[in-house]
Amino acid sequence: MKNQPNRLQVDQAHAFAGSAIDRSRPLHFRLNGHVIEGFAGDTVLSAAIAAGFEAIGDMLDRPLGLTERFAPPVAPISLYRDRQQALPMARLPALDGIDLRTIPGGRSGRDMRTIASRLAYGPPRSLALRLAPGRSLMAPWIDIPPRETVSGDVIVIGGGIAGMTAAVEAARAGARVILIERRTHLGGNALLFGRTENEETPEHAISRLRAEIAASDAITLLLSAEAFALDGHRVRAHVISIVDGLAHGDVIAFEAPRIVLSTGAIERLPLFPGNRLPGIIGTAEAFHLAEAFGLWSGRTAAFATVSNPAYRVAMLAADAGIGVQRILDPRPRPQSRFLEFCKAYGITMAGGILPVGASLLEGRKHGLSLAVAVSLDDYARMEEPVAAQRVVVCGGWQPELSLWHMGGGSSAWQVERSRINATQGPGHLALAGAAAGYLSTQACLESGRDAINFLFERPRSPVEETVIDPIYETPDAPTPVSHQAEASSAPCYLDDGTSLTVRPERRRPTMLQRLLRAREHAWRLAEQPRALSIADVAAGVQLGAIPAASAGLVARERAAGSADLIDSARQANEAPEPGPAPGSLVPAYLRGRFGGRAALWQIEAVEQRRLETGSLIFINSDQTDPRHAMGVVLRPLDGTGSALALVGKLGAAPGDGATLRDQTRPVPIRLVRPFDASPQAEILSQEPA
Amino acid sequence: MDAVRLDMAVFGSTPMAKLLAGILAGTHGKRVVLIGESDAAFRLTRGADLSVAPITRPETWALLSRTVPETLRLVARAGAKAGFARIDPIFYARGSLGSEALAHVRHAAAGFGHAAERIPSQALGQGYDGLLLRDAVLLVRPQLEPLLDTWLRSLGVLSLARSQTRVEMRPGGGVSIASESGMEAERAVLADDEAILAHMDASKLQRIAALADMTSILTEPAQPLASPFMMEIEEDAHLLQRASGSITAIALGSAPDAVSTVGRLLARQQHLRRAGQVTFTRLIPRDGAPLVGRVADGPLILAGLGLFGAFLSPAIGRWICGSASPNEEAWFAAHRPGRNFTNSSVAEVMSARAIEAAA
Repeated sequence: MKNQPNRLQVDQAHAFAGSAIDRSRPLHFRLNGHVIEGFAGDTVLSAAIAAGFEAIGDMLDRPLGLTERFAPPVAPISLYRDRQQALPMARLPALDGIDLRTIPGGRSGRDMRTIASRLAYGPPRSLALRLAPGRSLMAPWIDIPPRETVSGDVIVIGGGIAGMTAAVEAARAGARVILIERRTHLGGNALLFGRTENEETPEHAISRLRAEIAASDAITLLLSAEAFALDGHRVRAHVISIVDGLAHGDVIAFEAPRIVLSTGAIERLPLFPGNRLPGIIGTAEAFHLAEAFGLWSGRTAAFATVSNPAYRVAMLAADAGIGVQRILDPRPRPQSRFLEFCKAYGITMAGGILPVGASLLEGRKHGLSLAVAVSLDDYARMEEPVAAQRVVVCGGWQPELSLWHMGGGSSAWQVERSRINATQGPGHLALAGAAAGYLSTQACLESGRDAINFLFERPRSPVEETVIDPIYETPDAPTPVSHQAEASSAPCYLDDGTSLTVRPERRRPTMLQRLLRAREHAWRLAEQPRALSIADVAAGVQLGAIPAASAGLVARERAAGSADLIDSARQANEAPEPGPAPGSLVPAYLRGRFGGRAALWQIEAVEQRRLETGSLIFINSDQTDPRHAMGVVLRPLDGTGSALALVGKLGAAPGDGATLRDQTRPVPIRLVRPFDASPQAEILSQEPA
Repeated sequence: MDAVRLDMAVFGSTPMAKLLAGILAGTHGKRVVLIGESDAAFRLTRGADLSVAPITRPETWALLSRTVPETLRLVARAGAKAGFARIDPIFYARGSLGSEALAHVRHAAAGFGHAAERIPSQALGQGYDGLLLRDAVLLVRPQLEPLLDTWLRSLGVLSLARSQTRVEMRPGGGVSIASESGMEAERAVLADDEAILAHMDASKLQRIAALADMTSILTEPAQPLASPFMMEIEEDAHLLQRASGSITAIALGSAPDAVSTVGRLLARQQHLRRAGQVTFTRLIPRDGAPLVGRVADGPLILAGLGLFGAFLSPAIGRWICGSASPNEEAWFAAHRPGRNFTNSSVAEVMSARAIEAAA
């Protein structure tokens, strides 16, 4: 497949053939003018990756990897200017003949420079989007008002095995269920984690549950649909549908008295400079792209992991013909049932080693150089860098709690596992699966059932996570954190999502800064001007920027839903009209200012001029201190050249002179007459407060 | 082991609470414990500290004319000069009530030497009337807080995290603090709303103040506003724009109401995403004016000081320690919680929504 350099061959059987694609049905479409070839079942993103695209563009002078969590929206060329037509690359099925453009735009495949580069160096690897640090890359559809509202009895968000189980259990209980899954197929990450002995295999569980869902009239399944906001009992989701060969996106609101959040876990990004360069990918995403779409970028790979499933992925990649150079693990003596298989494949493994930086290979070579170091207790030493065309990383698993927080749920930092776990939440919300902190197949299945038992107030049984003795399966280590980088290094991102929060670089102060004793500006997460993912917050705890005790509070504050404020205001009621003038002429903040017997007077300037509200009145022009004012102008009396004033002068009589100060300028005035004693007039008689 | 005996326990996490704790310890030689949080570096801002505000009462302007320079000298001596900035804030309103109030504020401020200018509606939006006060001082909380914390340590002020400290208020205004050996402070000062709500009887508060939801919203970077600080006084909402361009907007109401308000105030931006939000509770004094003093036999409370509270801290410290000037004494006496709220002689500008909440 000449035009799909990242599509694995299937000339021999292996697990990465691409379960979601049909290789007998090729298709092609255009993306930014590039012709992309793919297969039925591909998404636009998977086909683009197959074609060789690995980078989205440059950010902070370094290329940024193109991933499922960070891919630009696209729109048909003919509808490009309409934000409402934007669609996500990762959820949009690839359709034959469509002509798409990314938002923002990238360098066109029809551009002469691109054509020349392709001829000289092969297909482009970057979409070359024009990225800017201040520019939001959030999905434009989250601002679109819902097209309709759909009601059900139970909403299940997330179609992994926990969510599928919850949907099936709820349907068995007689509920109408809406199951929302962002991928084009069900199953979540269950296949990645495999199974332990005596468990139902994830393959069997997925197959069984898919069949039950398909057979149930009570379950409405929405694939390629992503829930992005939760408010009370109302979920907003962006749903993609294909009508007459064209893709459409709609925002639909779903309402139900009970909601299950089986939103999975975010894979933590190890913290080192260059951790989002093209070619660096998370284990779960690498597995998903390979298993579902038969994709693997490059022919050599290195792994840097704190979690055992990466060893299984390495083994499967080796099976598929990938040259796995090394597996690096900061755990000193990791043990896993997969390690023995990796040893049998001849894969070099090293414990006590963590990644400390990555850079692109120089020149036009495709690949990365991963700087690594031994780190054991107090001992640290740099090792020879590892070069590979792809680096698969895993920093552990953080339950995805964004919707939980939006829905009013709380969370807290769990020290033992270096992650944020859910604590209390509203009674109509239940977590299941990896979102609830479970990773094993059996526990995820049980937690899906338990979520429904909780919501329906049925007897519950404790969910048992399968824990293998650490002698045989080393528990995950905390996400590795390399030392702070020098300014010349590539950025170290806290997460691989859209927040683009970067760990600050250590800069040597300039001579001027040293002379001025300028203080280095401390890094503060409160000042990061983007919504933070829960993985950003977890990284913030590990970096010491957030006290562990505050992690839950911060995570909840920064999971704001990110909807456009201006659009939200427009969709809400019109601005209330300013209230009418009060019945009393004298506002409360003027009471008592000028003594107990202040009265309303009509006043005028000696030389006719407009007298301004708030101007202070003094007994004579020598007085300037506002505390010694004897009155104040309440408002001009239009058409009369005079004003209504509140005056506190004892024995005041018509014709009495005074001085008004127009801010600081003295203006001679006289009292004309007490203000008419009809309903509007008042003589204020105040007792001292 | 005998309990550690202290003079003052100041409860609060705001710059005002920290400045007050430092003044009581450093200027007045008191043994002080501060019970609060230092979270400006990672939590969303829930307030602002500005040396000016929509104040109509000349006595308050007079007090500030002395205490603002005092506070700045104190901050500089504390090594915290990097924690404040000079700006020209704008106060604005759309209706006749608000416009009138702004006119009164402008003349009162000008009477104390502030450069106060009207802003035309073209700069603010159709129908808006505005007031610009030049050369005000804004405390930059994320930068100021660590500097104040260092200063407090140098003064020997003991700091305890509120979330991890158990206390028991005692009749007479003192407090017992659970610690290894136990601590007793003769006087407790509740210096922010969170502390007041946590340690005051709700029934005692009800007469003097209403509880209202406030929401703080952080936005993504936005187009520059007319001023780094803007306050719409009828909506009881203020906008604080940082160097990054992101805006902290704090408005009265729960999240949906506040989003609606802030969205309208920022309508000129066309599109603007949220980066975070938090809803918290604020005390609204029944007459819109500060509340300073003890409620019945309880601790001393400082509430309703709004934007300028931090800049009154030198005077508050003197008053607590019995060395206030006659004018300061008169001001604090007039703002005691036991005052007449119906015919209040210290009532201040209140938004219609605040009036409704406080009614």
